[in-house]
Amino acid sequence: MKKSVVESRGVWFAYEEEYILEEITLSLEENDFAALVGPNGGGKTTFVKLLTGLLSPAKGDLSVFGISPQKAGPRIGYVPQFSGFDPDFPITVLDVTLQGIFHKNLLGPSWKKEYLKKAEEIMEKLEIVSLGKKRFSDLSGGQKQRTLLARALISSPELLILDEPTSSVDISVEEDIYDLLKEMNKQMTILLVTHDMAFVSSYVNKVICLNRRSACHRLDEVADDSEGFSPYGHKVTQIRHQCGL
Amino acid sequence: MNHLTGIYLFSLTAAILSGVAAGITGTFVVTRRLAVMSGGLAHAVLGGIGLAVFLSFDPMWGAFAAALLFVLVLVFAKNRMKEREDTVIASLWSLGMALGILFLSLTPGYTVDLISYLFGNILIVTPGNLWALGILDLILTGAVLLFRRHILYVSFDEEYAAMRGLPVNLMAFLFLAVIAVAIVLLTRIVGLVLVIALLALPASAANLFSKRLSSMMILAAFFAVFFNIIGLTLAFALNLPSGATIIIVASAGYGAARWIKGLMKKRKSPGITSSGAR
Ligand SMILES: Nc1ncnc2c1ncn2[C@@H]1O[C@H](COP(=O)(O)OP(=O)(O)OP(=O)(O)O)[C@@H](O)[C@H]1O
Ligand SMILES: [Mg+2]
Repeated sequence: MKKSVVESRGVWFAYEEEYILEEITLSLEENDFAALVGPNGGGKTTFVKLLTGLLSPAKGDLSVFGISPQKAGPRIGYVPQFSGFDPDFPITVLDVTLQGIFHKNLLGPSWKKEYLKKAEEIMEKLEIVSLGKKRFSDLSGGQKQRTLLARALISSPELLILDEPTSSVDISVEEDIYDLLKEMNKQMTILLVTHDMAFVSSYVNKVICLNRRSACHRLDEVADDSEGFSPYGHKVTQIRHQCGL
Repeated sequence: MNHLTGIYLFSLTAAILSGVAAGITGTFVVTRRLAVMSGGLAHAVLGGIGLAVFLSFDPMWGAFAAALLFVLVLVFAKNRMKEREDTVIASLWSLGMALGILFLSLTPGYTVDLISYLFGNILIVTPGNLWALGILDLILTGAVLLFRRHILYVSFDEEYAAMRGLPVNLMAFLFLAVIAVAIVLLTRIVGLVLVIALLALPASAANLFSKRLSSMMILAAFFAVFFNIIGLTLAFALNLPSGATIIIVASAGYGAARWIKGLMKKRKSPGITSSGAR
């Protein structure tokens, strides 16, 4: 059996009085590439923040790599949906990328060579090397998103969580990014929040629907009696239907 | 050395020392969007000053106590009681000033003191104040050098810093505490009404020309020292109130910085119209 990466059992969460998540039970295993889908306000971002340890459940058990999400934090890579940071903050693209591993090099006068080399490698893959010295706030939306992806990938995380990472990337880049993720998936578990089911269905092996409550589907287990025509299209419609999308 | 030159040199030292502190803490204020909080804190400190004067303590201690109380009440009301931050700040701001004015009015000879606390008076700066400013500068510089990655990444993206195991709540509190101490010491020079401009203007001007947080701090300190020296010299030469003159110079300096930035941008992207209208 594959190692479990995320284990959520009966997790509840509320910001104020009203529960946003109820009784969430699901699991992710090593090398899963899971899509997290659901309507706006369904609680996807909230669940992701529970996984990254930024919020804590009101009830239930949630573990990542068998330990608490807070402790697992350094082993997770995360691309947030909305960056909460100041659009006018003075920081370079290289320094943003390095935030993914800065906890390994907190003190000391300068960055260790190995980390700078890692940064260059990952920035090359995402085609932002030439932007390294630029101020982050001067980038376009798509360049910013690629930088945030670089920050998430630089630590070679065991779990990569992406909250709608391609919403402002052009379509050709979007495909490149998904191909890169597919390759990365050999070494890491990926959880991808998205609205574009039709597009990602050829990449993912699991679909989790979230609308307050959760339902988990394996893409290959979805009943398909009409074998033969548009294999994924049909499944996608069915999952959409089951999720109430 | 005549008496006036002596005072001028003493004030100049105060101007330089306070510029360094204003540049570094001003960078925190601007990047963490704490300008309103800092303005509120500066004003509320009058409550502590008034009480100390009334009880004939050193007003400095009253000011520190009030600043610390302000930070604690703000953090508690925001995090525990889920109050809106701007409402809490506005209330504490007015309450602090009201208490200050009340206590000062109960103390004989209060008018002189009130004006110099509100608008600063370089003549009430004591050697003790200079030492305190110098020590604050040393601590700030040391902390910024040692913890520059902590400071950079907590300031840029607190969530990611928290995920990587940094104590972000503790650090947020320390930022507030450092800003509070700096404000109390700086009010001696420019007064509690004007201090927020001395924090915000040099740092905002520096942000226009910086790609990095570290260079923003250095440039902000440089600007603050520069504005202080020009303002102070003008005040001495023309016999103007020092605090107000420094702030007017700082505002003019910020305006000039914006203008220069505008020119630089134009030069970088020449003729959008000329190449576009072919
Ligand atoms: N900080 C917050 N405080 C209070 N309520 C919140 C907060 N953040 C989110 N909510 C509420 O929680 C619910 C779920 O929000 P969440 O952001 O998790 O949805 P989502 O599935 O990510 O939606 P989207 O597809 O629009 O990104 C929404 O009803 C939202 O109003
Ligand atoms: Mg969301």
